Amino acid sequence: MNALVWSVPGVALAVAAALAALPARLGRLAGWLAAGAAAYATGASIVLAGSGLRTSTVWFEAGRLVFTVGLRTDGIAVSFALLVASMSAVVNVYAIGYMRGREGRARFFAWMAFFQGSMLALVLADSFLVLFAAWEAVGIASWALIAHEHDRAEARRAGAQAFLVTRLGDLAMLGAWLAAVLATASSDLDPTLAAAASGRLAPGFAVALAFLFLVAALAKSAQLPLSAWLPTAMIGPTPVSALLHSATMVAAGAFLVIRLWPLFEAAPLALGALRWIGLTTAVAAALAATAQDDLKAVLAWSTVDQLGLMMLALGIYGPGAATLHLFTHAVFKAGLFLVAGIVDEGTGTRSLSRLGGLSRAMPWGAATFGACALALAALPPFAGFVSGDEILARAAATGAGWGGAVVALVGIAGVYAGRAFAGVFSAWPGARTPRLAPAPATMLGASLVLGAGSILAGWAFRGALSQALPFAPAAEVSAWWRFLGVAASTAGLAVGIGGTRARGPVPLLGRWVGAVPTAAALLTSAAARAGVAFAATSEHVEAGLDRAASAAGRRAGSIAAVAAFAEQLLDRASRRAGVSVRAAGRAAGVVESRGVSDGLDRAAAAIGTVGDRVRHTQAGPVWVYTATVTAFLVAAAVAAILAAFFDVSLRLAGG
Amino acid sequence: MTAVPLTAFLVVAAVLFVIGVYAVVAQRTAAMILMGVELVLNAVALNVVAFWRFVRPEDYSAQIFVIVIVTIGAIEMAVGLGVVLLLYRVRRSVQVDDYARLEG
Repeated sequence: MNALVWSVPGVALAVAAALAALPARLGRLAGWLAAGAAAYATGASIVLAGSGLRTSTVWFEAGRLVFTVGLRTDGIAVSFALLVASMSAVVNVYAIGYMRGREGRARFFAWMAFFQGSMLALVLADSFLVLFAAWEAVGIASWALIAHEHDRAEARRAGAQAFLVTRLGDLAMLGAWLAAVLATASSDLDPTLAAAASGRLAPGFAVALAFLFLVAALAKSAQLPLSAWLPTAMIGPTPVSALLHSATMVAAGAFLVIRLWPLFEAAPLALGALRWIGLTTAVAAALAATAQDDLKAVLAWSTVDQLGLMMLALGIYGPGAATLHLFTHAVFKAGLFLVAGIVDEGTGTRSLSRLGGLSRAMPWGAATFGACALALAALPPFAGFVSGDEILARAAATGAGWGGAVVALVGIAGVYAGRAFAGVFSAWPGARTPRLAPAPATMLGASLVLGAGSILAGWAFRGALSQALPFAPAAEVSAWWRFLGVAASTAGLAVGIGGTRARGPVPLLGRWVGAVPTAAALLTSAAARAGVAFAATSEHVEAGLDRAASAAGRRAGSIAAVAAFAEQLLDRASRRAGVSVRAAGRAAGVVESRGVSDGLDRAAAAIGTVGDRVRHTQAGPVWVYTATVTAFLVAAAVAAILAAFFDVSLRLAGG
Repeated sequence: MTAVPLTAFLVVAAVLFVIGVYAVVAQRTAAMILMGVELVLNAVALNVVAFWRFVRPEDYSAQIFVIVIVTIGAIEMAVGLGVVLLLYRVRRSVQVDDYARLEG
């Protein structure tokens, strides 16, 4: 059984890997392989329904933290897995026809299969590790699929924008789940949810976690202020818009809140913020949708609107209603996109002002689109009515203001849904019906399936989900509110269809609503622009630091100059010392030559002179000799006399 | 008759001696130098005799001494004169200054 659980995303990922390595000759098989993987996942999910398995295994331990990977098959997981798998199957079949004649088929279906596997892993995740990895993988798949026609610069830019904006949310989610792991020492979902439910998490910590996860959900679901990437992403192929950007990936934000519902229940502040964000986004996006000319742009803003409605429902403690709406929205929005794709492929244009009156050329397409549009407008008995009804019930229970807001939103949805339908399919004045090429069977067949689903899905899902989901069932809506809702949707449809039939697909609620997308884009790019401005200032900061560094370097250089100067001084001093030593040496030499040798010479000369003089005593006149001799004799005699005298005196004295 | 005291003899002998020394030193003529030497000798002899007569008259060795002095004086005079004669023959002068160079 565990293997079966792992195979649900595993087969899709394996198909993705195989398609990545597929030789070009087998390009035709790519789509069927991807669709086959999705069909297998659908079947496996049906088998696993109600099994309640958990395949958590320990991947590694780091100290006291245990990191696990695992999948679970509780009610929420299997329901979402069924939705993702079945929608993937339908859209992949559609894409086989859509990609006919286009290049890069194997690459496209490889990424579609990769997306399938990642999305299934996301909804089946039992540990934060798997959840986050799948979250990121889905983001990468979205980028690759939006930018599928990578020769087109705007496609690449749109893909990059989508990826980078959702990446902001991913950062918040990373912080959140790492904090959760640190708090509970395990990366499984259950310990954190149990701790939140039982109140063991500190309230501030729970609120912080909830807000961080909220940021991730808002980024992924294109809520304000991070909405602008979704309409830009419509440049991607229509199957991508249908599967990722209406049915499944953007719903992952709402799924995150639903999956971590106990945590959000423990953080009322986060849910309070969520309902207001949802409301604002829904109103702004719905108004924007009424003024768009591009059909896919209408549907994109409509997706943002419906997601805002889901977030609102979650914010007013209606997770069951939000989930049901997510499911029905997936069906009818994808159906709308598929027909839009058929129209786009058949006529070569998506612009409402250039379409019109196609209902005769494509009756089944018109019927499908009409069914899905009525579901979008929440008209009974279509799917959107069932889920919208539940949201309305919850809103009315929360407060009359919220009930009124939901009613108003239903009304505006009716306006833009009717406008879209009438703009494409009915002959409004001035419409020049373009030539329509016939669509391949796969595209038509897939859209028909979804068209049928948008009629039946509401009732089918409601029963199944109320059993599978652990949420309390919504209270029954009062007849008064139900009446208001139906009246609003009817009125909206009337305005939309009637207004368009009368005046063409003009912005029915005024031109001013066209400012909404611009405002949303400004909001989204505000962070980016702040980043760019910061980069510019950091450039200035860096230049300043550079100048400071070079000044310091110059000062260091002047220190070097001082050192060189000191060295010069020392050099000069040593040179002078050497000179003086040399002078001393020379002086010594002089002294030696003059003093010593000369002195010695002079001494010798003096001695010579003396000797010369003395010689004269011997070589001189005779009287010198006689005088000398006589003097000597006299002296000796005197001395002898004195000695004798003293001797005699002594003897006389001594006696 | 009053006896001549010793001192008188000594004084005379001294005077003679001094005159003799002066003659030896100051005279330029060789013969006069010899005369001066003779005077010195005689003074000494007088001194000896005086001391014999007054201090130890019994010791007659003084008399012998005087005779020796005279003898030596005589010999010395002979030899001296002979040298002076020879010197005169060579140097053709009796001035001792001319005898400065003891060569030849």
